[in-house]
Amino acid sequence: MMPALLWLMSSFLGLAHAQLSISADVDKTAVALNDQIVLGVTVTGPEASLPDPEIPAMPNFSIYSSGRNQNITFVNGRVSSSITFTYVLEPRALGRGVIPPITLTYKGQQAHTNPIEIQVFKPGAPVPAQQRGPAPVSAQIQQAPAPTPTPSPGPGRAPPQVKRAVINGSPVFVQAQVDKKSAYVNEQITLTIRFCTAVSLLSAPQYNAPKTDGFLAEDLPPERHGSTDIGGRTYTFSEIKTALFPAQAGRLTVSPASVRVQMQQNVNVDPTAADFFERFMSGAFVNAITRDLNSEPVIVEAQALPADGKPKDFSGAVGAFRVSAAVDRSSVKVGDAVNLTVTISGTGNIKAIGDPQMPDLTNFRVYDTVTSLNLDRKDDKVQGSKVFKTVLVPRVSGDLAIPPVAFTYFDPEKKSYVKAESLPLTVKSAPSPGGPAVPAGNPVAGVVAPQGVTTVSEDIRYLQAGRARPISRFLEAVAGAGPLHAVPIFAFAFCLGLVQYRKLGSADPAGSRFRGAAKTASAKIGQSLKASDPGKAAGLMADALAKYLADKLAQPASGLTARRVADLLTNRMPPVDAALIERVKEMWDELDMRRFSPNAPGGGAPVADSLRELIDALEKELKR
Amino acid sequence: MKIITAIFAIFLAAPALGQTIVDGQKKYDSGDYNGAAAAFSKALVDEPRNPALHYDLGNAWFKAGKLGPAIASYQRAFDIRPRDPDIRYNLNFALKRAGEELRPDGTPPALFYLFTILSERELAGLHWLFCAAMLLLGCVLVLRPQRREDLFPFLASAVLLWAGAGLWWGSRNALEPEDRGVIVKSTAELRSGPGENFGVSFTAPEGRRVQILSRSGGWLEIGITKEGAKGWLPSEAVEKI
Repeated sequence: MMPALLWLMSSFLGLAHAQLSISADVDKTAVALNDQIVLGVTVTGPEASLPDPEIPAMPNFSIYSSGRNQNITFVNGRVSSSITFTYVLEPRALGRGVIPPITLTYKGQQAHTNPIEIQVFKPGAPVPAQQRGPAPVSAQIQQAPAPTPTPSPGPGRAPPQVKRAVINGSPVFVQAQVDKKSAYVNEQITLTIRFCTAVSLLSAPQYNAPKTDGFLAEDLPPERHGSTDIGGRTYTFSEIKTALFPAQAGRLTVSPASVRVQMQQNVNVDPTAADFFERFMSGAFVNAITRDLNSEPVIVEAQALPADGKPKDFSGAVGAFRVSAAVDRSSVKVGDAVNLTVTISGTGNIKAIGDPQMPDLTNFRVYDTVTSLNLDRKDDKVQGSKVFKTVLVPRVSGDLAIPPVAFTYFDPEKKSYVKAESLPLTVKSAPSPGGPAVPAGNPVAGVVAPQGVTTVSEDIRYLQAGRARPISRFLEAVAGAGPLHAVPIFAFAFCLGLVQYRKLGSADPAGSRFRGAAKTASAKIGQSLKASDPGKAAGLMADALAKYLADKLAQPASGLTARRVADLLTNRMPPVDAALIERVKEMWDELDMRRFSPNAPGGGAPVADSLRELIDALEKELKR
Repeated sequence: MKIITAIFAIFLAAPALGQTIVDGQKKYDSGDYNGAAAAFSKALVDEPRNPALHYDLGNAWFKAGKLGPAIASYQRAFDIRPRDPDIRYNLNFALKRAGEELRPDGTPPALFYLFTILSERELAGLHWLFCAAMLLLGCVLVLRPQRREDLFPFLASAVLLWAGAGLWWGSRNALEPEDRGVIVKSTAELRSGPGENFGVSFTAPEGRRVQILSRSGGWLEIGITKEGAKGWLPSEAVEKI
């Protein structure tokens, strides 16, 4: 921060509960009257937003702000930040001067730095060697003439050399300008506040910065000083630049900046007046007046970022960035730690950079990311880098790939979203001889299981082949059999019916014979047709007829004769038709003849048909 | 002639089906998950009761990032072959992505495993098989009452198994209703009625299993058991299982 830190006098008083601290240092404690001292006041604390220190009145010095520099660090999700406020002090008087304690107030508590003693010598006088630091650059600029606009960069500034004060015709004024009137949200706009004077001032001007509601502001030190010609008149000027980042879309206003100055006003002097010498001795030829100067308000149109094509991983960064990734070791053993450093650098609001899109690192155990921020303000552009450090521990051996790390931002020049990617990396992971060995002191110690199965990543299982098992298919077929399910039910019902039928038959044997007579006869006739011997066939048919008539007439089949049958049929109530009885007798005789006569033709189909016709006719006649 | 044609068709179709599955597996291995899903879907037309094909289709959908269709396919595979550990694992894995688990909260794992070890169709088959055995033994007993003592143990076992299978099947039916579906639309908005003019009552994630309660036009009334919620969704947002 300082070119050389010769002397440090600081107070480091922690505010008990807030853990804020303040320190102050100067680059030298002995200075010539026409030289400058750089005072740095640093406030540190565990928050991104830190309070400003209260700079006390310093009657022995003219004090100018030279900007501020903030650093924010994220470690394991905890924020720590520090702001260094830089001031340039110009001694006003010879001898001993003191920088009083600087106060930091936070939530009702206060911390103070110790007072710093400064020795001021005459210009050109020898400054004690042990108290002299390198000569500030501003000393040379102060001695050089400035005929044309010659802004002098650096913390030094040339004191005004104008001999006359001119009140009218704007000898002093304040300007506020921006480099662009329209910008995207989070795009940098540079605000320049310029204070110009063509007259000598009686005291250091008091500057009040404008309000920048709706913007995120970053100072752009150092304060510039120089001289310029305006309308043929030489002005000295001081410039303060601030980077503004619109936080929201819409019409945003930078309120006026104001500067309070004390100027001298000449009064008419009458040498003949009675009080001439009295006024001469009291220095009343010059009147001091105080003026408040204001700049014009500045209006900026903040445009919303285009919604079309906005990537899902866009986190709000606007500017121009690049991403790089590196590992501290490219060859490790399983269980050893590797530090992956991802750096996003470029121009834009570095503080607004969100986490990059980390790739899928299933082969690694991934630990917390530590974030740090480096801000720079070169060429009035806020730039720098944000560094993300992550500890990776290989879970498995082999060449483990770290895919590119992606970061998406909006480029206001191209007016489009840009995806920046780092190069892919590879880490060679060797098997650990004793299992996953974790070095002592490593933050991951104790996390990796020393033995057993370690889950690397969870995923679905692979494809299958084949069909359902046969037993499963059989059961499914049974389930899908539909109407066939009724078969066992019908079978059971049939069995029950059959048993019942049998019970009925055993209870009425005569009736059972009567009902089954035709069926039995038909079966026997069928058998007779299959017999090869004609006599046997005729015998079967004769048996069929005899059995039929015996069943119908409730008589034993054996010993039944044609005459007996005719008598029974005749005497039956109601009596059977005589013609039918005659046909029975004829059939009986016919079958007996065919059965016992060696020369008679056999049964044959015609006889069987005749017998069936006869039985059908008897069935109709012999109804109960 | 028709029978001969059918037999030829079966023999010719079998190698073609196998080739389709192999194509699907190759596409899956090469990372063409949508192509693999198309191949497995085609194979399922010929073998709709093949659990491995449903499982493979679920894998392809899952890898393609389509959680809803993946869970629907895994569920079908699980319905056919619930004992398969891979099917159980992948279904549970996918269900967790949808905020659900295969085993209902509070159910002992062993009990859940036993309760779901047989598919509903298998339980139905067992039920009908034991029913047939019971009736046939009853027939023998009726026709041969003198063998009552020999047959009684078998008949009693058949009756018990039939009743047990029936109760098991019935309880599975009661807990897993026939009309089920899976939400296949990411963050589906369930409305209070069958139309866009009804307000959104709640949202449900893709992959959540639902019960289809009724239909009206192109809308389905669905119920989500876990949350006890009920609402209407366009029918295309639900894939019926």
